[in-house]
Amino acid sequence: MKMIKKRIHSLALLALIAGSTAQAAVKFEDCYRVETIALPKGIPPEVGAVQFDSEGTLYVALRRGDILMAKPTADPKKFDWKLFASGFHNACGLEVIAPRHIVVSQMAELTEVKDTDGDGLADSYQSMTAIWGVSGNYHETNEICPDGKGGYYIACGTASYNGPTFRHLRGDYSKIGRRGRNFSAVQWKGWVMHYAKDGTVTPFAKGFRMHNGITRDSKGHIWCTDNQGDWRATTPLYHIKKDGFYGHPSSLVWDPKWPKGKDPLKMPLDEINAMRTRAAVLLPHKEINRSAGEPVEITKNFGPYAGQLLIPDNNSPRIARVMLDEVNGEYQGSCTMFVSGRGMLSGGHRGVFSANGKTLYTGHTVRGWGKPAEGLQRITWLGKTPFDVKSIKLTKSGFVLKFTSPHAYSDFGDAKIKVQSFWYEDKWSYGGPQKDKREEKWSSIKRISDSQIAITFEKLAPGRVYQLDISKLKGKDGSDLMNKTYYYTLNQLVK
Amino acid sequence: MKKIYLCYLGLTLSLTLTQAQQPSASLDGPILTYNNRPLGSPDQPLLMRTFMPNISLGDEVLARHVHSHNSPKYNPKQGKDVPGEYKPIEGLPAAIGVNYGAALSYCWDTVECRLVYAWKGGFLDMKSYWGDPKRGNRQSYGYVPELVGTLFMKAEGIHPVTINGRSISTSKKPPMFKGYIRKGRGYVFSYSVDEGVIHTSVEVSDQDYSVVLHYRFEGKGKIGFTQKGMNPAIQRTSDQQITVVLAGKKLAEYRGTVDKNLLKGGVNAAAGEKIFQAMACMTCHSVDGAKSHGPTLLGIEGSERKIKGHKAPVTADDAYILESIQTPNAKVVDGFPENYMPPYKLKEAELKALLLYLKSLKKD
Repeated sequence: MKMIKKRIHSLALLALIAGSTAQAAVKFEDCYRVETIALPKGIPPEVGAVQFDSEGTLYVALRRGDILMAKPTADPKKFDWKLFASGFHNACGLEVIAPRHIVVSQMAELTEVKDTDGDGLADSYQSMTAIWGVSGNYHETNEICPDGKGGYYIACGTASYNGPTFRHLRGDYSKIGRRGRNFSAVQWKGWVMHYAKDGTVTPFAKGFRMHNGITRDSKGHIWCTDNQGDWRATTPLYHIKKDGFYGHPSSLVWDPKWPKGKDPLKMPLDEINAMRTRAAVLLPHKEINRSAGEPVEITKNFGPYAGQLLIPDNNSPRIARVMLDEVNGEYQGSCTMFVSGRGMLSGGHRGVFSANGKTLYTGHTVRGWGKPAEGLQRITWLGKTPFDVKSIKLTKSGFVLKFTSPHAYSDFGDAKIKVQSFWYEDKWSYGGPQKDKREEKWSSIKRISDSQIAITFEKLAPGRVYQLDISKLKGKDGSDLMNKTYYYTLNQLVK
Repeated sequence: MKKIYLCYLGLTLSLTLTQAQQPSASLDGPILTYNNRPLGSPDQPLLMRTFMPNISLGDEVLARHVHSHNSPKYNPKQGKDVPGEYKPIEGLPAAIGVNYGAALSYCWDTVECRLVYAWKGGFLDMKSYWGDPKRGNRQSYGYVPELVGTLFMKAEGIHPVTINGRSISTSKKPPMFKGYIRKGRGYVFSYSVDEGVIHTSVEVSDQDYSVVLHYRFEGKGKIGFTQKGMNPAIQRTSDQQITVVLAGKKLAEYRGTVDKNLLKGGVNAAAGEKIFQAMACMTCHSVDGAKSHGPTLLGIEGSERKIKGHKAPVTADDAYILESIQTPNAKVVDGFPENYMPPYKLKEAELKALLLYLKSLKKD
């Protein structure tokens, strides 16, 4: 009897301690709310693209062909949807010019869509360009982002050998470009094209597989994600520059300067590696992102991560977060998770922030793999700051980690941070392992301030991805660290 | 009571499907749903840009399209070609399908800038593209929908529109699709030619098996119309404006994706005929000896076939007929185009039934 009493007593004490910690400790659900938004009943919510206009109306392109619109309401089930436009072939890119005046990228065309008679339903569908070919392969999906000057960048995805080409194509056919797993049988597949405001279209960058995500950030940089697969050992994020080549060889056949008859698939790997621009950030496939959607720059009103990129996963219910680091004038950087599970849908494809920057709307669709994952969701910042790594900056001898709120420790023991490194080899095969994974012994971990620590090494090896596992660190308020694992893509050392 | 209800359900099945397209009162116009057979109506036509079936349109009609070819199979693990070839399939990559309910469906091609075929009594079966109606997941290799209804007009020859008496097929610059507007109960497509811009629409005719085409030319010259193989009735409003009534005739029946119920009555020639119709084989093969894109199938069994590249004729036995369905380009009959017929993948029982039907097509 005495024993039992004692046990009850200690349990109560434990509960008291737990209770007091819980009051201060910040959890994900204190900071963000995930909601699924209802689309009209009976309509397949295969969301190809999402955008807002200046009046706060949300446009949702559905891949079967319709574009719906609604003003968001507090209740995610009560949006008053209206049909705005219809008839698009796999619309996966959408930008708004003005209310009820939009630009849509679809299979065969970049189309300007307008409601000219003011009845709320689009009636004018004008072709802006159809400069790319159409092979009849389902995989050739196009996405767009603004160029900042009234024009657009168009990401033209390659075809897949899981589907055919048609006997009759639109555009020129390349026998060499047709070869391979993901291929470029017709023009500008695997390219980023530039549509200037005056309507001229020029090839901008090449070497993509399925860059199903193109974004212009607030500084004017263009970013493309791509999908793990052939010539992509893992999911990459590329910083796009004019005339760059980003490693998937099939698109090279359409380069006007490409030697006639030269087969890019028969090039030695060294030759391709010498030509290509490496990914700014590599997102480990299993751990962070299996297949990337559109990157979205985080606003100032969405917690502590302003200016960073969120990258939805098309094949897992999660969104990755990328922290860019400018080193010697070039971007590289690290990634971790923003949200995984917690009611998220898989099929992450597109994202857009509401005008006040507090809510991220995400469009989800995937048809090819197993069970379809589709729908429309939103994530709202609730005002609290999660305890997380805010940035990882490369120094001459290691990394400086900055936290979103004060950390609890003044000194770091051995067990607190484990560092490993590995590398990826991009080649013909579909995806690739983390190669030559090894533990990296750090020489020191020092507290710089309440919110920063520095970790140093005897030597850093460029060309490798550094994995930092922070297992036991807590915030001053008792919060658990939101993420335990971070991956820094070390393309180059600080000069 | 239960029994009555079931009967009622059966009778109104088609009605229920139509209603399924209108899931919400606030959504005006035809909305695409999980229903793989979307339909518009005479008041609210449905326009869809999608891959469209190529019903063996001729080279002159598809003059601006480029041909693709067989390509070596590739193994990404090995990073090289392996034995075998990928073969192109039939389809139109950049066409537009429009439906007015049961009254009219048409396919307008944005590469050729012309009406390429018209049918009625149905529109498209999207199953090959949209997949399982309940889940929307992928089920096919190609993504080409199937036609549903009666084909009554199929384009032939060079472009029917003339400027100053010359077909725009002879223009220096190819006609260039500019876009379309939704106007009244239809759509107006625009394309540029050397001399200006042509605006055209396709409408339901009050005569059976016919369509009305309106043309307005914005440019210098006189617009005209002449369609090979048809007798167009042309009404001229001005040098720049004409209305054409194209009267066609029943050319083929399409039933959409072959459904499993076709074999319900057993594996026999009658079931084979249903499969023959459902796969629209008659688009290219007559069963009465008439000339078409492919050889007639009348009297095929045991006939001697002259094969391209073969010195001696080949006897059309069961093996030959089955090969011609599954790998039609293995042996191409002399005088017919190579790589024209797509390979058909059928289940064994379906193949058996189709074979029985073809063997039943005997000459008197």
